[in-house]
Amino acid sequence: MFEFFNSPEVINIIVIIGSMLLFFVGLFGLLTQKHIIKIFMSIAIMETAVYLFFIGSLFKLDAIAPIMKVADDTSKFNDPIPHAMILTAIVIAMAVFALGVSFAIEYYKLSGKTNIDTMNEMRH
Amino acid sequence: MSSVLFVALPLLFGFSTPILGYFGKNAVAYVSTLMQLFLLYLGFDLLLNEGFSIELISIAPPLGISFVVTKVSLLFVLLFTSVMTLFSLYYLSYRSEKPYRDESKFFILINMLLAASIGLVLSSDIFNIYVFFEIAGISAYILSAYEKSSSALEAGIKYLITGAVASIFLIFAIVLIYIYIGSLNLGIIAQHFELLPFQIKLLISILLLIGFGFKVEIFPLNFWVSDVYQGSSTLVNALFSAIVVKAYLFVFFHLLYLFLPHGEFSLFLIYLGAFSMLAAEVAGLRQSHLKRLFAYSSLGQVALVFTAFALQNTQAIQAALFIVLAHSVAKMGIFFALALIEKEHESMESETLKSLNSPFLRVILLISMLSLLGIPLFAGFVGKLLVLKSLALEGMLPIIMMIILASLIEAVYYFKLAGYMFTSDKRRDVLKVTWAHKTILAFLSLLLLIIGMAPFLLSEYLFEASKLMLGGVS
Amino acid sequence: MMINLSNYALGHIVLALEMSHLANFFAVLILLSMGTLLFLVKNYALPKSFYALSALLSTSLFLIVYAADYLLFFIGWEVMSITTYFLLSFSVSQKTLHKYIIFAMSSALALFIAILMIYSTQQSFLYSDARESFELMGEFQGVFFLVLILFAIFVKLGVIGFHYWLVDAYEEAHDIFTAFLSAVLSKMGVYALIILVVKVTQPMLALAIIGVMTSIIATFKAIQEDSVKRVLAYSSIAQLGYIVTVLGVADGMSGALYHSLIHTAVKLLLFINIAGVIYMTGRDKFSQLGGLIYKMPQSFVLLLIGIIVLAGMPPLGGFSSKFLIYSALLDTKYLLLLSGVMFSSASAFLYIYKLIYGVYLGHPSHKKLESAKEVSLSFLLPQYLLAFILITLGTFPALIVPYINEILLESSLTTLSFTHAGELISAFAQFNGLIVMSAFGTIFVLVVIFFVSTRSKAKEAKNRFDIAYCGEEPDESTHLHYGYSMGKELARVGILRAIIKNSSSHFYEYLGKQTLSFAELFRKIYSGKLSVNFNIAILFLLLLLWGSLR
Repeated sequence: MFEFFNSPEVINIIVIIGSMLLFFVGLFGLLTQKHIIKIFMSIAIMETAVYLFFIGSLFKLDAIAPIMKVADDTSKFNDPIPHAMILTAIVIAMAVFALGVSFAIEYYKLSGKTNIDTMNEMRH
Repeated sequence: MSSVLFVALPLLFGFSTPILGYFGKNAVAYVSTLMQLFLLYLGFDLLLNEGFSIELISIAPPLGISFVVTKVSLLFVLLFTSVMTLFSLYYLSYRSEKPYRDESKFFILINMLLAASIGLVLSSDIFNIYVFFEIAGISAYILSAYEKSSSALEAGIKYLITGAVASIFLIFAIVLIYIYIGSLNLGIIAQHFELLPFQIKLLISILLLIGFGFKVEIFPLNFWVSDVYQGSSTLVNALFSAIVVKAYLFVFFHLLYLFLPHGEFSLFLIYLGAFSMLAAEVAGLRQSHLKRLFAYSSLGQVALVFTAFALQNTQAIQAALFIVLAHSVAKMGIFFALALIEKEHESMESETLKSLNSPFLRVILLISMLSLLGIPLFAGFVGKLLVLKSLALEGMLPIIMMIILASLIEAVYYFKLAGYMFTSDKRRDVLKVTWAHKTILAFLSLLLLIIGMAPFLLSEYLFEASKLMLGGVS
Repeated sequence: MMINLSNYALGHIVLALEMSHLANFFAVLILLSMGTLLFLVKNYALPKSFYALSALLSTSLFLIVYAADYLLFFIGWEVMSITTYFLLSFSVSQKTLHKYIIFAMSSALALFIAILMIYSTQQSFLYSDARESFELMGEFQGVFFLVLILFAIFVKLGVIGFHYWLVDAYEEAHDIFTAFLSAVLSKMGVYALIILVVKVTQPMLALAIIGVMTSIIATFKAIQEDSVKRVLAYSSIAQLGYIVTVLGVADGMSGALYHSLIHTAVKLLLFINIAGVIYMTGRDKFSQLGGLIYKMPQSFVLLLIGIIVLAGMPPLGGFSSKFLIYSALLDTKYLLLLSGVMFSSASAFLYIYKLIYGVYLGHPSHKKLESAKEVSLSFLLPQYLLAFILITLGTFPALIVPYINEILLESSLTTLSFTHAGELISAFAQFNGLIVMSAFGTIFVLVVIFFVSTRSKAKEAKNRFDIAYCGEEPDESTHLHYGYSMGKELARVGILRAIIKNSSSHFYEYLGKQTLSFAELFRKIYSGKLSVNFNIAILFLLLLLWGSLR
């Protein structure tokens, strides 16, 4: 009954639509949430959506891992570059969020504020 | 000798700091400065021996990471290295009185910033650009929040959030490029970009504009800038306006010229730039906090550079390069001088200038402001004249008028400051400036005068550079 | 003689300097002013930077004068404006300084737009291509170009409506610098008008009308001022109004040039004279001065010569230039303009009289004035020199006509006819300065002889309160000078009240307030609220998407 889902095009479409939905969820969060941690979460969701979109749209179901020993025919390989890129991007993003959260904690300790709209030490 | 050194050395230094730290704080400071001086030497060596090259650190050609040294990228590398060296030299004398907390970390950060900015300019691989974009971003966020006061942290948080959002749009664009072209090398992308379907081209361009728009501080995306400048420490602001934004500007237009060599969106970008300039200057008109005021002036100048680059012809690019140089030098002078004033007066309200008792600092501030304004005899005039001239050749009278109107508003608030400095007589005690600071500040002002009076010394090199930038050697 | 500077320029811009007769004429005016004012400097303790800035200012003035292209002209113009700012900053209040710089920068930047417009048509900044470039412009562009250039020049000249900065700046500036402002910097406006407008376009009636309006309004504004320097400032505006008027009609150049020379000399004379009075007494208001004739007789005579010239009466130089101006206006049959100029000229007597009457005649209004002495030679010498020039130009009015003719030839205009130095000939009339001078001289000598021989010995006053005052004892609080607040009553006349009470300052203040509240709006947007920031960014993104899909 669900074999229909096994065809690569359908999976690709599902992943793309899903990741776009996720992206807009993140965007919605970014625009509506005021709590600083929630803002970070929204941005993380948006980023994840982009990663999913990338992997999902280039992922081939029938291809194999790009390891020379398994097969000599490179055309059957899955493209390794997106994975490498996304791994790097995830690492970077994690660093940024860790930094952001640490800023937020320090800031909260100093001023007791978590709402980005009340962050106005410098209204000149 | 490899151009990779420009990126590798500062990074290497950064991560060897803990070891250096055993030899004491001074060791870190002096080794860092020496390393930057060495980089400067390398840069001039490359310049004089015409060592322009394409260098590959490759796995296999399309997959490799490549660094391209052309006249134009070398110009930016030299600019960043000299700015950073001057900054370090200035800080060496500044730190004896008011050092940053946890100094060795500070040196890691500024070297990371230098490495990332140079990497942005040199690399010709779009994913590397993303990586350097983030490294430069992260070091800038930390530098911005470095003082850990609540306003510094607020600045850091705002900077970080906008930076993170910008990077989403950038990576989205890179993802689309890879999906449709299948390569990350700028040269290959440039060849195939034109053949893409129009909508995809448009989507990628818009995503890139939004991604970089936050970083190059263009109108609807630049509301965070004034807070960041105000919250960050004054010395660091010199780096923000002389290095960080310049690196992003270069990369953005480098990509633009490669991907859209026929200037499809040129007119839109020109209007965007001119409007940004006007908006920033108008916002600066009612500003009384000095750092914030100069943030608006930075926005204005950057927008002027943006407009010039967006014109997409060699003369305008030459003009833009002139403004980039003049603005970097002038802003360094201003923020360096402001740092001394802030240390002495502990206030950055513009009224502070009324009681500033140091003819030397007053003259330095004045020369820098006049150059920013584009008054003849100073470096800023050359750039502004050339931009307006190229606009006149294109017959864009409305843009010229917007830029001139913005300059007028800029003049109003600069001369208000000049009035504070030169007419008031309730002065405090003489503000002593050490000879090291005096030398550096005088050097910067002299540079402005030399470029302003003898632009022909630079114009040929800049013209060659602008041809290369437009020609899109990747 | 033309010097090409393009080797030192950028991006294919041709720059050049040129030594034309017109340029030399204005260079002579600059040198004359600098030379005479240099006599004065040793009386004041001026800071070193004053001299440095003055040197820069004169350099920029010579650059303006000798430039052969718009770009160098603009550079000179802007450097002039900025150095003037710093020269003013030695004594001027912050508000006035700010007012000055806003106007000066608007003027410079308007000029910048205009020269870029000229450049865009033919890719050349040279004057020699300007006329052609102007003709190549579209009608709208041409008008816009003229409006910008005229705005820039009017601000410098202080044409009524654009004089908001001028009077305050003249009043508060250092005495030496006020003289320089009036004698030279305003002449740069005249030079710009000739180079950028008169040589490029056809004669413009509008210019002439603006000039006449300026001189009439400025004259009436001058009458009711109490500060000496303010009166002289308004008088400068009025005199420049004549020059603007005559430049607006055909063949008016000779009159304009002649009047520029006369005005430079006479304003130097008057400002130096007043500087001497202020130096001696420390007072610069008519209501605080008076009766100085016995203390400073030489200054009195020199001022008398000055005001006769300013009034444009024969036999001195002032009449010679007025003669040419009237002739040019008659020639073009703009009789209304002519009567306007004559009306303003005649009304000028009211404030001109005030100058000599309020300062030197009447009764001393303060005891400090009784101890005043004649000023030193450093004040008198330049005045004698200038008075000599003015008397010579009255006696030999055509002395400089050959020179003016060369300038006219250079601009291919009709020249004045010339017989000998004593006779000034215009299209309508001629007047022989020699005869007029000898007639006046004879009468003057006769009157003096009559006066001296019939004058009876008057009683010497013991002090300044030794006067009959309606049977009352005057004291310090009594205004002894019977010309106190002279001219104030003029405001009762309906039309004059409209002129005196209305001021462009309301308009500029309103404009400033509106701009500031507009700026406040932008400042609020830039206040850094992150959610606003993102909302606007996303809106921008959506706009871009929508715009590009359309």
